[in-house]
Formats: sequence, C-alpha cells, structure tokens
Amino acid sequence: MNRRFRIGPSLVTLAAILYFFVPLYAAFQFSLQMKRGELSLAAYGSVFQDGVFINALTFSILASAAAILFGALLVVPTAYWVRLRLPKLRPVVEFISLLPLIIPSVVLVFGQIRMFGSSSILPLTTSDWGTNLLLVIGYVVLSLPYMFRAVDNGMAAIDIATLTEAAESLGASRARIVFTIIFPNIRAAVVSGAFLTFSICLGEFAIASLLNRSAFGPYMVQLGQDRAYEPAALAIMSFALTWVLMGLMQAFANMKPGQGLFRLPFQKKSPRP
Amino acid sequence: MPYLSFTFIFLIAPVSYLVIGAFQSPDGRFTFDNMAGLANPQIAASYWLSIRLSFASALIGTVTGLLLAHALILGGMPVWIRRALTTFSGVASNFAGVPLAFAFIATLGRLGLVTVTMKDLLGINIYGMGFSLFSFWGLAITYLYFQMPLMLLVITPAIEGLKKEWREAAESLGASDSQYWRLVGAPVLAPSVLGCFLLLFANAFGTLATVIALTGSNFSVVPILLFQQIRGNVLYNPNLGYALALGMILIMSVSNFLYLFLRQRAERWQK
Amino acid sequence: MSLLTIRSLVKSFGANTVVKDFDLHMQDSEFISLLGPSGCGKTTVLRIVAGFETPSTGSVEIDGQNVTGLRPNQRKIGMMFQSYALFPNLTVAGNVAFGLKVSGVSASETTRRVDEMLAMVGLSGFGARYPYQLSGGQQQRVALARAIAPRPRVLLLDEPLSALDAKIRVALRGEIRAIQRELGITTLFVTHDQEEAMAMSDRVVVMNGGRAEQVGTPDEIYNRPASRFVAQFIGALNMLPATLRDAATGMVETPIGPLSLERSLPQSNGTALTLAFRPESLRLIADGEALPPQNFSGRLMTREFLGAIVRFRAEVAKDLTLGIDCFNRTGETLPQIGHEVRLGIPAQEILVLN
Repeated sequence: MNRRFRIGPSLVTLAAILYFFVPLYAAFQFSLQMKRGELSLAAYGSVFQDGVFINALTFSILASAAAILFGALLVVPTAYWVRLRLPKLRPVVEFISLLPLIIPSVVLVFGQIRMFGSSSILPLTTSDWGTNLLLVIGYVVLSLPYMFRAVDNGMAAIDIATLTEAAESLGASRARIVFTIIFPNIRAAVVSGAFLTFSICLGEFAIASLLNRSAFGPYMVQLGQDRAYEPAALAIMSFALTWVLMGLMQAFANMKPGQGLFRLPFQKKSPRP
Repeated sequence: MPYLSFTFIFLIAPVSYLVIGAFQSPDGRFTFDNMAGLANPQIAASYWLSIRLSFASALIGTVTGLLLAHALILGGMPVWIRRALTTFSGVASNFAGVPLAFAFIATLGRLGLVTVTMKDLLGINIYGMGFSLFSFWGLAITYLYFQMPLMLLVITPAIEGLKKEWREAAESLGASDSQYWRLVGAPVLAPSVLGCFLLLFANAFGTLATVIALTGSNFSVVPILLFQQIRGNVLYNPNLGYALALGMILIMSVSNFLYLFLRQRAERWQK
Repeated sequence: MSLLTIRSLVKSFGANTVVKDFDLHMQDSEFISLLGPSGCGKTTVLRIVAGFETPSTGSVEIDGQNVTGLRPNQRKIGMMFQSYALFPNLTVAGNVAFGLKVSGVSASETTRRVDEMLAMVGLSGFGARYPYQLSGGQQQRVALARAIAPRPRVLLLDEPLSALDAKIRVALRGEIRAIQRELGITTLFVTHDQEEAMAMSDRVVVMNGGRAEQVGTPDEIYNRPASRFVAQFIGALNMLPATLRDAATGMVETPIGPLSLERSLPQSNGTALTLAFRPESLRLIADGEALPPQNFSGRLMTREFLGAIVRFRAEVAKDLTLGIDCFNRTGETLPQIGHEVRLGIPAQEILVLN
C-alpha cells in the first residue's frame, strides 16, 4: 500500500500541519506588534507587569495544586482498595469517575451553587474560604475521570494484588506496603494524572467565573475584552505551558521505577550490579 | 468510604438537585411544566443552535481527523512526522478554552493574519463575503483545532487495529482495493468512527470558555444560556434553568453512552 | 510442465538479501513445505508467490503464466495466515463467500459452494456465527474453507498451525492434508516445525540464510541430509570428529577408537571429517549378544523416559557424550544410569560431513 497514492496522504498531512501551525504563528506574530512599527516583546512585558495577572495566576496555581493533592488522596486509596478488596464495586466507582465527562462543568457548578448556597445546610458560598473550597472541590470533580484512569491504569500495569500478597508474606505492614511498594510503583501514573489535572484547572473558566473567583480563566476572558495584543501573548504562553506539561507527563508516564526525575526520600539509590 | 461520600455530596447530590428541580414548580409541587418550557422559542433556538454547531464541528472534525489518521498510518508517511503530529495532537486536544480563542482572533479576526493576508495578497475580503470568526462557521473552524486532534487520537487505535492480514487475505481472494474497503475496512471501522463522532459531538456541546472568549455572551448556545441564567436568572424561573441543565445532561449522556457502547462493540471485533 | 515454477528468485531489502537464487518446480497437486529457522527467507518466498512482495530479480510462473508482475488479486491463489485473518465483520458464511462474491459468482452458486466448503471442513451449521464466537481451531478451518472456496490454482499456507494448541495442531494438519489430496490442489506450506513438514509433505525444501539447502522427500531429507545444516536442523544428531586414515576402505580414527565406514570416501587421507548419526541408530548391546563390527563402550550419564522412547546420554570418551534412543518395549529391561554399556552402530547409518 506504500506504492500508491502517496500524493494524497502528503497533501492531507501538509494541510493539517498548516492548519495547526498558522494560528500559532499568527498569535505569535500579533503578540510582537504591540509597539507600532517594530517587533517587540512589549506585550509579554505588559502582561507580567500587571499585578492582577500575577494574583490571578497565583490563585489558579494554588487552586490547581490543592485539587491535585486532594484528588490524589481521594483516588489512590480508593483505586487500591477497589482492586484489592472490593472488585465488585469497581463498575460503580469507575462509572462515577466518568460522570464528569457527561456533566458539563456549568451544570455541575450550577448544582453546587444551589446546593451549598446561602439557604442550605452547608452554606459554603457565603464565606470566602468556603467558596475557595468549593472551587477546589469542583476542580477535583472535573479532573476525576483523568486522575482515576491514570491511577487505575498504573495499578493495572503492576499486578497490585500479587505485590501486596508478596509483601505481606514477607511480613510487611499494610502502611508499609502502600508507602514503600504501591506508591513508588504508581508514582509515574499519579504524576501524569497530576499534570493533566493541572492543565485542565489552570485556565478553567466556567466554575471560577460562576463562583466569582478572581482566577486565571476569568482574568483571561476579561483581558480579551479589554486589550488587543496581550491576549495573543497569553495564548502563546499558554500553549507553551501546555506543551511543557504534556512533555513532562509523557516523560513521567514512560519512566520506569528506579530511574527518575526526582527521588522520594525513602527510596535509596541502589548500586548497579 | 471517602470516595463514595465525596462524589455523592459534591457530584451526585448537586446534579440530582437540579434533576429533581427540573420537575418541580417554584412552590415545590411535581410538574412537567419546566420540561415543556424548554419548547419556549428562545430555549429551543438555543438547543437547535448548539446541536447544529456541535454536529457541524463534530462532522468536520471526524472527517478531517479520519483523513489525517489514514494519511499518517496507512499513507506511508515517515514515522517522525506521525510521531510529531500525534504528540502535537495530545497538546492541541487539551488546548481548548480561552487561549485558543485568542489565537484564532489573531488568525481569522478582523485584523487577523489570514484575514489581512487574503485581503492584501489575493484581494479577497472574507469579512466582506459574510464570514465572521464570531459566527457559526467561525466557531466551527475554531473548534476544529481541538476536534481534529482529538479524533486523530481516539481513532488511531482503531485504524491500527485494521490488520495487515485482512487486507492481504482480501487481495489473495481477488478483491480490489475498493472492494476491500467496502466489504471489510469500512464496516470494521464504522462503529469506531461513529463512536468518535459522538464523542466529538459531546465535546463541542459542552464547550463554553472558547465561545465566551470569542463572542462574549452574544452567541447563545445552551451552555451560554445556562451560564447567563446562573448569573442573572435571565429566564426568570430557576426551575426552568434546572430543566435547561437536565436537557444538557441528557444530550451529553446519550452521546457519551453511545460512544462507549460502540467502542466496546468495536473492541470485541478487534481482538 | 510444472504447475508452479519459481526461477532464480532474489529478494533484497536494502543491503540485506533475504532470498538468494531460489528455484523450485512444483508438480500439479504436490504438497511442498518450506522449512527452516526464523529469518531463513521462507515466508518471503511465500509472500513473493502470493504477490505481497516483489522479487528483486527472478520470476514466478503459475500454470505456465508468468505472474511476477501481477497484483495479488489477479493471481488466483488461496492463502491461510498464522493469525487466521478472518474478516471480523462478516459471518463464517460471509467469510467463505468473500472470494466468490468479489469475483461475481451468482448468489445461488455462492450459497451452494459455501455449504460445500463448510461441510468439507466439518463446520456445517456454523455459517451464521461470527469469528469471535469460534475457537482458534474452528477459525483456522473457516480460513481454509475461505481460501479454497474460489478454487485457487495454488494454496499458500503461512504457518497456519503455529497459533494453535498441540492437539488441535496435529488434528488439523491431518485434515488440511486430506482436503488438499481430495481437491488435488497444489500447496506451498511454510513452517518452522520439522515434524509438521515431515508429516504433511510430498517434498520438503530446507532453507537456510535465504537459500534452499536441500529439496527432497521427507525420507531423503532425514536419512540423506545433503549438508551439515540440514543434518543438524532435522531431528537430533550425534557428532563425532574423525580423521580419515584410508579413503579406499573408509577407515577413520575417532576419539572412541578406529571405525570402518565400509565404503570408499572421496576425500584424501588425513582429512578432518565429522561423522554424524541419529540417536536411534545407536544400539545398546546386551551381555552375551554378538558384537557388531562397529562397537565401542560408554557410561550412561542421564536417562529420560519419554514414553515410547527412552533417551540416554552416554559418555564415550573424555568430554564427548552421545545420545541414544531406545524403544520402550515391555519385558525388556533397559540399563540404569552409571552402568558401563557396549554400543553398536551399523556403518551405513553413519553420515560423513565435511
């Protein structure tokens, strides 16, 4: 099949590459034109000098990090326990983890606002910290499908049940098993789930906007309405950041136990044989 | 179990609240009025617009993504091109939302690079011809930027699952290229392609941030209408808002479940 | 005129030549196996005959027609694959009908032929099932029915039994051979399993490094291997270094003493030779039995009970052990490990390798 129609596939591929490349080039080009008549990085400088930008970005990074931590703490023990002890619950747990793909974030936050609004038993939206908490919770829910799948795949790859039995037969305690055997082995999976969560939450708009948080997503939308060149600069930076996150995720996903971008304190480096 | 309690409190309960609310009148009695209210011209137009836009963007995404996947996998492209585009697709399919809108404003906006270049070099004023980035087709083209890569990623396993031996067996039995595709290739791929189309449809249907960043709140697809309802109760009836949300959930569920069902069916074949 | 003729075939992938100057003339209704280790070029030869690969030089003729430049779908061949390669979207009947349908055979004729083929492979009544509902053996039967339904001129089998369980493999190879005989269809079979090749074939082509080392009946290949490679590849073999003392009478000097091969050899005196013989050629000589002309002693080191056969290894000189296969006959007691034994071998069963 290699001998026929090479022109067709080449044209299709070329067209796709053009379609992918042109908007990036256009945004980049546009972002350099802030100063009339010359190409400069002024738009980038202007973005970084904006205190609101720094605040919004910091807030979103913190919220995303909290969502990652919360999500991992929720998903890892659950996935482990379900694989080991409650395989019957597996379809239920998996189904729930997929629900956020079906329920748009607008709908989710709508429900949460009504549920935890001022007149409810758990009025989270009345206080600032409560609203922040609700935002993080929203992000945890939003990233649940990705986190769960990443962790569950990681556990599937390393026969959790046998490893646990092997460790128990050698006399290890349950906590020791989780921290010295299970976690190091699925670390790559957790990290890749974390990066995915981060890339979803950092620029998230609907939940942040409806909870009136001054997060990065609403900030970008506002900037898009007020300014011309800065949004293009932001688009380029976001795209670069997404690349970096995906690259890191791939690196972690392909990483084998023992080699590492970072090492956990309880892991001693073993001498090469 | 913390997982079940957490998801119950923060996912299932809020959504159930909306679902139940969709069948209640403001004073708490059971009613179908809200669901019937979805037929109100403003809401119905909104759904119709969303469905048309999602359908168009999913269709274009499916066709172009399929063409691209076919070209990369079966068209004898060098491996490095294939790998580069696959990695890029991983990024681009996650590059939705606000920054994507900005990039397209710089490309096809009134002062966008492509708009200006076409006018200066070719004398074609696309805005003069009725095109606008902030319209139906402008949005469809923008959506394509994450739809096509997503299609490439989800359809690749299915195309790779077309075994070389099937083609060879067909050829040895005397089948021509088109006979192979008509009798074997296309029927084997069909459930996967249809499934992926539905996934793309759902993906477009739920898109909010890109639309807001491109059009403000002027382009009233369902998520925008709901967004405005939450913001300011533009429907003047909270329970009607619940019905609006339920309608979204239903459309998303149907397309996602069909996607999962078709994928399962396709996997059964490809063992 | 032979039905399938392969002339001076050469196939190179870049600098790597995988088939070198390969010739084969197949008679009508003949069953020939291409046998060899992986990477020997046997599959490439088959794929060139099928038309999936183009030869670098050389030609393929079917029925006197040069098909070298024809596409696979114009060659009227049938093919079976290791992975069955059944079309997953079609039923069993749909698969078998495929070749008939694409060549425009009428619907009624197609139905009749499909029923006939399914009956032939013992799957009558399975027509409405889908491939994923069948076992491996059943799938491969369907693949056979599909391959022969359009009445191909040549049937090509690419390791069709390798993916199956041992028992089914043996049953199916008998069935394939029986159907091949019944239809009189010329068949080229690729395998790395020598037992399969021996059991099924009229002739076997032993391939090594892209070349045909020997073409012959299973009997010839086993008993008169033409090269050291063939001798070593087929069956188990004992090897014994030797020096030729007298070419006229076939006297050689070996680590186990002088042996007479009882025939004249073409090599000159003093040449280093390798003697080879099968484990079943060696005989344990019971006490009091008359000694044959070629005999020597050894000590039994290991004993493997294999059912019909008991396999010994005996040390016959320092660092030199030989395998001995004995039939397990009831009432006959075989010696135990550690025993000193006397071994005999008929001179004509000793092969001389250079």
